[in-house]
Amino acid sequence: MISEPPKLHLAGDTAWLVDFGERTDDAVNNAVIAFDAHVRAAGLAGIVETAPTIRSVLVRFDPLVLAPERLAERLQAWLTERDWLASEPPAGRKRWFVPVHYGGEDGPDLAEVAARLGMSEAEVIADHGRAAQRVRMLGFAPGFVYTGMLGEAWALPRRNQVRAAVPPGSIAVAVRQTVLTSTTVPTGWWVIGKSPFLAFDLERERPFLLQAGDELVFEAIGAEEAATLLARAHAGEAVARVEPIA
Amino acid sequence: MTARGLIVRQAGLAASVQDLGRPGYQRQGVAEGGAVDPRALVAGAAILGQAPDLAAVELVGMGGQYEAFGGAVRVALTGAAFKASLDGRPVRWNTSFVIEPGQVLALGGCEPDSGVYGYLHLGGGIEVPRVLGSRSTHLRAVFGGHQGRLLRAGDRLVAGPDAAGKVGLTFDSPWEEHPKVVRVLWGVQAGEFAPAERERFTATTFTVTPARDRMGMKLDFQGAPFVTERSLTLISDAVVLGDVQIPGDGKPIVLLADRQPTGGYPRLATVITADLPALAQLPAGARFRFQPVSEAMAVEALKRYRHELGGLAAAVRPVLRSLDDVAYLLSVNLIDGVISGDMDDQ
Repeated sequence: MISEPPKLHLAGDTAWLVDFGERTDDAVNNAVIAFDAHVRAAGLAGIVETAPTIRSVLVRFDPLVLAPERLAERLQAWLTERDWLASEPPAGRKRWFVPVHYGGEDGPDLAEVAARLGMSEAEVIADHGRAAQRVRMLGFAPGFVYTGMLGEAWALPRRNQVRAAVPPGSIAVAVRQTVLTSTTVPTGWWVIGKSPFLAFDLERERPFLLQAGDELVFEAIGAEEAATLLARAHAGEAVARVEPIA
Repeated sequence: MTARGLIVRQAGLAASVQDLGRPGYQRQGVAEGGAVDPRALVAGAAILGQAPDLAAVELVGMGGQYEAFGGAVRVALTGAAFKASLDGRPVRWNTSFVIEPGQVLALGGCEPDSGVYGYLHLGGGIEVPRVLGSRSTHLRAVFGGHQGRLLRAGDRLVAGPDAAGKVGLTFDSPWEEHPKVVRVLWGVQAGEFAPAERERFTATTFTVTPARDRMGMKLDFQGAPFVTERSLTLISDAVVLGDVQIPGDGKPIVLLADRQPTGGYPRLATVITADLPALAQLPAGARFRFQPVSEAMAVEALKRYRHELGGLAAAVRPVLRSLDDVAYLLSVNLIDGVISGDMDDQ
């Protein structure tokens, strides 16, 4: 695959953005995750925090401790050290089986998504759960997870109207991706279901469960089971089966 | 020891508990948050002689009414000035004083053109649990601060242990009010805008609109919307404090403390760290221009900004300078030896 070398952009006076290109494939995401881990492990004094996204790594720093051009030199050196786009997926990845109650009040856009995809609602549900989807980024809100990519048929634009507030656990789709919410948020994505599983929950011993590189398999459940699982989730249980990815 | 602090008798419009924010969790989607004007937070701590990482109440629009309980409470008011009185007698901004139990501090509307964000500090700070390392309220996700939400009538703000006893102290602000020029670095997607568009951006006078909150402020201006050269469907990417986003309507939004950690709008510029608090304090209707500067100039400005913040504690001085001040101090519990021990410091 021909790709441009990663670029460094200054993002204000306290961050560099390491951009691996306008792509959403696994190679770019693996590169992002590997490079982020490398920068963190280097433990350079003056780096405040790093944040990996679908296709870039934000490196926040204190320019009075670490001069911007010095950090840029280090980042460039690391970038040329190896072919990051050939990185393996991160070690210790997990596959989560996420129960979803599709449609009804929990998935108000299921019917329209089915119409747009030219499928029945049952076919949409089956197709959404067919293959594991990769966690590509956590962003936007606490425990707000971007996964993908779904098949070409799922290349839906975002809705024209933004819903002002969708509840925690909402499952929404657009642009061949699925997002999971953990808090109440506004969204312009198509809400097709709701899960009792929350990627972020402060009441739990481990507030954040998912990491970029993990995989999600969405499993359809009925309304009754969703209610039972929600009660268990409120008691602190993760309510998603999990297994290591070999 | 019984709890001591302030009871909210009447809530302001959008008062929330904030400290210096919650860095380190951007990778988990958690907004950094914290006081929109960190200068005012540090100034309040300096006047009260305490650590700058304690939490205070951030006031917006209307201040509300606060009554001391459990004992006398030292307080200080900083940032944008609101109409303020203690049991009906006016109190000064940027000055520390005492609220005796039962006394009510009434904070009305923000003084015209003073700014937007005011801060009410308690001696010892506000005792709320640190959540993910910070006492700041994350309003959207409903955690941190006081029960994760705006303050309401009846809320009790418990003060932390207050070792220092000094009041009647003030400081002279080193900051220029209402800048006409706000310095920026070109943004991550500046290259997506034609050179003529970037030039127009720097030549345009922008007006602050009322469409603003802790997440961002919307700007208006005379002229055509700003547009990118090609139509962009950007993959959502990390954003930073001070990013100047250009959404679909072509009118900039400047991202503030509660910005979402990722966004998909092109970013034309980023306000330098040193200039952001003053920009965020600009009242609706204020006009200014953006001026691009070099990275070296931004770092130089940051050095100066940090130096000013670091110098605040040393710049604190007693209010007492004239007979007017004596009358003032008498009116707000400051005479009676409460401060006498500190008067000969100068």
